[in-house]
Amino acid sequence: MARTTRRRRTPAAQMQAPKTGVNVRMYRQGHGDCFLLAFPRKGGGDPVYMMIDCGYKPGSQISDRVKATNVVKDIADATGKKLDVVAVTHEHQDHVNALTKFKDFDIGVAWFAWTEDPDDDDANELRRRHTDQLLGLIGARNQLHSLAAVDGNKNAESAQARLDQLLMLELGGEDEMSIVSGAWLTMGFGASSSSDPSKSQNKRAMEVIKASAKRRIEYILPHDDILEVPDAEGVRVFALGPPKNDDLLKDEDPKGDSSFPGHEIASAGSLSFFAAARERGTTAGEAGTPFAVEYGLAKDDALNPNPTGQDDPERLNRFFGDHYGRDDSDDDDDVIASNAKWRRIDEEWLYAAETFALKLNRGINNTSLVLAFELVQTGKVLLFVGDAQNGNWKSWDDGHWLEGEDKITAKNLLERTVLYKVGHHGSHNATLKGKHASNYPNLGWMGHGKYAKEFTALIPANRSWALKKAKWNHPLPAIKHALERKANGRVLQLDTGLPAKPDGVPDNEWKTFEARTKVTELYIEYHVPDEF
Amino acid sequence: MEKTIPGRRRLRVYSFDPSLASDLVTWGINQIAIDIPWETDEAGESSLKPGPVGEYIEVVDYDPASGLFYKPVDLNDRNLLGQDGLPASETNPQFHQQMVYAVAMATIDHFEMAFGRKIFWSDKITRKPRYREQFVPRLRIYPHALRARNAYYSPAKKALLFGYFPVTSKDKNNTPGTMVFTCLSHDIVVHEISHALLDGIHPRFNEPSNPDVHAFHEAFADIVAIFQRFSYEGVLESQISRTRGDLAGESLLAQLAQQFGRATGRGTALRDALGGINPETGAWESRPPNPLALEGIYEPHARGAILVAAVFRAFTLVYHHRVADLFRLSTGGTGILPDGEIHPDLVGRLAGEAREIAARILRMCIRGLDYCPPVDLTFGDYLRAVVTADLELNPEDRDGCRVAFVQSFREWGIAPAGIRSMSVDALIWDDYETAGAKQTIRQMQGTGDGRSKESRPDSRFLKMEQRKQREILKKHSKSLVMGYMEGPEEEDGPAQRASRPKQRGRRKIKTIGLWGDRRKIWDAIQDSTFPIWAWLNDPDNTQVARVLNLILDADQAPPTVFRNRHDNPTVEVHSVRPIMRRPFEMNGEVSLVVEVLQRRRGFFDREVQKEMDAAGMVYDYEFQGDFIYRAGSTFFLNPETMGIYSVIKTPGTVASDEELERMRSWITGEDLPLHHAFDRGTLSLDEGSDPSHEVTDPNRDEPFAMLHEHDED
Repeated sequence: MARTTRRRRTPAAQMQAPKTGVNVRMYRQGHGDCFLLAFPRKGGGDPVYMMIDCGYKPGSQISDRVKATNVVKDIADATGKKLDVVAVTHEHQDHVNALTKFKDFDIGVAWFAWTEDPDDDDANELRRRHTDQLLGLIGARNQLHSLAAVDGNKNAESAQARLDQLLMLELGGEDEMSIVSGAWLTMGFGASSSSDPSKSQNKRAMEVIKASAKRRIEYILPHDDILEVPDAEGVRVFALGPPKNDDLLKDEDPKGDSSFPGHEIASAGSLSFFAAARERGTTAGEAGTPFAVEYGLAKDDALNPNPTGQDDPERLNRFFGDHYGRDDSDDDDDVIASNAKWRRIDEEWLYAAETFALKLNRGINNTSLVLAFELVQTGKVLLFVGDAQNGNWKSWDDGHWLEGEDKITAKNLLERTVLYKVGHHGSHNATLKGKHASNYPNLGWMGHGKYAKEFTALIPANRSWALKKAKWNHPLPAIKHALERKANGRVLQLDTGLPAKPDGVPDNEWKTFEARTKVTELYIEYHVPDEF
Repeated sequence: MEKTIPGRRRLRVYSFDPSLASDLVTWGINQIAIDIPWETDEAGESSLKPGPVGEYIEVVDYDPASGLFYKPVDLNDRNLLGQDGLPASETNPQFHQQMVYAVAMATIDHFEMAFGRKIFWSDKITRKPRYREQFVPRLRIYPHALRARNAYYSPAKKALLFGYFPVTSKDKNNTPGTMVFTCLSHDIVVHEISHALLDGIHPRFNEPSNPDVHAFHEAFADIVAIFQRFSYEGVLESQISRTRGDLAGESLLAQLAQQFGRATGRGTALRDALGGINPETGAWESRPPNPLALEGIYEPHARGAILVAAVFRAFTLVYHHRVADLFRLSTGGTGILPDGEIHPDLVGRLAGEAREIAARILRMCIRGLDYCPPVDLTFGDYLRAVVTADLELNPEDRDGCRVAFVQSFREWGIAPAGIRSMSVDALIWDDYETAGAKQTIRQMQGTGDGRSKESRPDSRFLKMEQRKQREILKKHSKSLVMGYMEGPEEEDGPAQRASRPKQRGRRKIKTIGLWGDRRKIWDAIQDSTFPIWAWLNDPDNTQVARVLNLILDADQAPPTVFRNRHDNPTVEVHSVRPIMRRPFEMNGEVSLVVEVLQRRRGFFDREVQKEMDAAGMVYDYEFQGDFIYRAGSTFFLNPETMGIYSVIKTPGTVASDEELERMRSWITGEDLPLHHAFDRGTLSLDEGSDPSHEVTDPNRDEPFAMLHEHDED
């Protein structure tokens, strides 16, 4: 490939900036995001380096030779340990857990979404709710854990496994699931047992970047000032999200009229799911109960074969013994046993934790910083959406920028998009479908006119790990196919590298794409020139 | 002195949910007493036990999140008998127990009256160490099982689980800090029990092989909830009085839809399908039928809501048709009401009409269930099922209900595949000989070279072919009359009753009662399954099986089709139910609804499927694919004459690659023409779930648990 021969005197490992435009590396550390961008520096010299996220789901590596440490080493070599900008899109394990390895990097500016701003009231309220819910979910998870351990309960075990994947996204760290699943979870899981919400490993990882940012930390609001990548030639940045609007953060899924942080799930009332979930090991009566005490019988009393103290205890015990049961009853008959074990519901209520955790995940995904990089000569746009989901996407069009007479809108930016970093590893609700004429931002808005011919997508996903281990359909085939159709096959996926040329794509078009792409074991690099 | 046994038990329930009790407009009708059957034992004494635990239902009030059991209510307590049960109360869990029991029993009563037979819950199926089916006498109801805004039917536990949750948002209907109990919402209880009743008839309607299947489950449960509520006396009067009898103004509908959405906490799908606020006038308006409404709508509640809207429109069409004379009578012939309130007598008559029509529509909808294909139901199939069932029950259709159904479905764009016109007669399912003859004709057309005379079938040819099919069936039905010997146990054979004595002779179809002891009926059904299964697996009967959409010939089935040890494709008999198809004929003829299916291994990857289907491949019986594709039919068998009536087929046979491909692209989410979300399809990614029972839900074995979360995922 032509590009590798263009090396100059610099050390072989250094990442080059192109003459015009930008080189983009998608690192292949596993299911997660880590992007390194190299822009030409104003007035020459070493390129301007910008990193967006660095994280992965533990266990999702595509090979033993491509670990986060290898990737960070490569970034060190590529940049000389000097990052002009580090952008962190949102607080999820698969975007931040490797940031702890950047302690000795020279970091210029750190970019975070406004949701990380310690002086922003909305942000603080979001964080408070997030913590409340997370503590409740950890409680539910630990109850499931004890049920799974004691009973060898398969349902509880698989529910816990799925919940662990979701909770570890919130908690962070680099522990493999085999370690996680055998332990009690806490806020500071893996580092030091702690119930202090500020001690989650995600928070500590982000803290590393905040602490290292020499010049400043910027908390970015959408549709605010047009941003510069300091000292970079020919690029400016438009922030499209996350929305500065509490309502929009609530809407994570295209189908629901749902509720992020808040509403029914974050209730502080003693009768909520979370209250009961946190009450591990307490006896009935201490936790809230929905009715006056005279109606209730504690479980142990109700199922005790030698009851005492109740009015007419035998009758009640016979009832609960016959219709719920305590032992494993044997029913090798044509009729089921009236107190069969498989009909009991002791842990059933805890399974709701998975749904609550999904909501929480989606809520945090919607706090993603969404950046559109514009190359000023040609107007080409690179769109990095983090893990933005429906509510975030819909908000992109809620504001615009004015430049003299010109109004720059989300639609305008999306139309000029030539490189799309696919949201949330290609999941079903993180790339909106629609038409160019639709009145909300969607894939149909992207890559129009002369920009269509170059439209390319990057999917940071390890599909076989996601399907087999996490049971996530990432990327969703329907989205991948839509992207392939739109991009004439130019879809670069983290685990598979350079795709095959689809039938019917002209040779010269494909050759151009191949010449711009470089695939190594550690990364996939793609060049976007600022010329046509 | 002779005992006088009460026929009915009256119990108090909330007609909507407790929130309406505190609204001045609705409080008067919010608490009603409903009539349910008085459950008795053989001696005529009440057989209802504390719980309540009766013949069909057992209420077990365990609240695991609080660690408490709540004491069971005894409805035979004389203090309760004297006052229609406990008064409505949010704070007394025993009233909650009473309400779920009463509403569940009222629903069961509607189903039994519509079917004309006893209802059954779905069997408990165990696959290991051997395949076994068990009778489930009672559905269990847990009124306080969850702390979540959720309620669902669990097919695995044969139970309804209701949640409760504290209100945290503040609006005009909610006060923060108060509790909401889903088991106190009439509509939620009916909705959930309808899922359970539907599952008892069609356990395979949980398999979402196309976008309509789950949507149908939701829609059907909503339809039952709406029309059952209309059937209570006193509920409609106040609303009809307020809307001055006008259902076209739809403010009744508006209220209903809004209450329903709020009560069930299931978002806005139903409300939006029925209508919305006109931004110009600020008033609620019903949504006119839209033939394109189904396009791009795949979320089960949203899609199901369109079916509900279609059925509701059929109801309003019939209502306005039927009450036009009442309006003319009460207005001196003009039909135009003067301003002000309408006369209470007129209200009473209008409500009576509405109640009667609601009951009739509900009966049609329930009875249609027997006339559905065994799997892969579409809304269009359901229309055909309802129309065919109603034609058999009620050939005259004096009130035009069938026509209204067809009109409304047409206007909502719900059309069955492969019919010539949307008219009642074109929608009737084919009878056996016509189905057979059509198949012959299709084959001729498919292979015809255009030269032979027979490639141009005419009416004479059709008649000839029909006669031929009849004769073939007659010939082959002899072996079913004779019965079949029990062979060595086949791995794919029907489950054998543990308590059935070994039988030496041939086993024949037994008499299956419509009413009586449910256990005895269940036994007779189990015993009758074997001879039908043996008959349809008998390679001699290939020609009959062909008409029933089954393939017995080893050469005609791809290798991935499940086969028996003789290497022939297996046929499974999934259901045998007694039915009186035409009760008005008074001949006492009881037919059997039989559902038969064949299975084939499907693979998510198209290329893998091709490899697996390469000629000569042989698979172990235990080997499962990524998903199961099923095809077959429902048919009506007369166990006296062995005649077969209507044949209701799935779209393709088990050999159909096109149908398999259609199912694959739906469940893998590969090819979804969606609106603004890329739906993820229904692909199950849960290794833990039993692959032979591919409930495609990641949340363990609970297809409804996630579907009913307040926030649909």
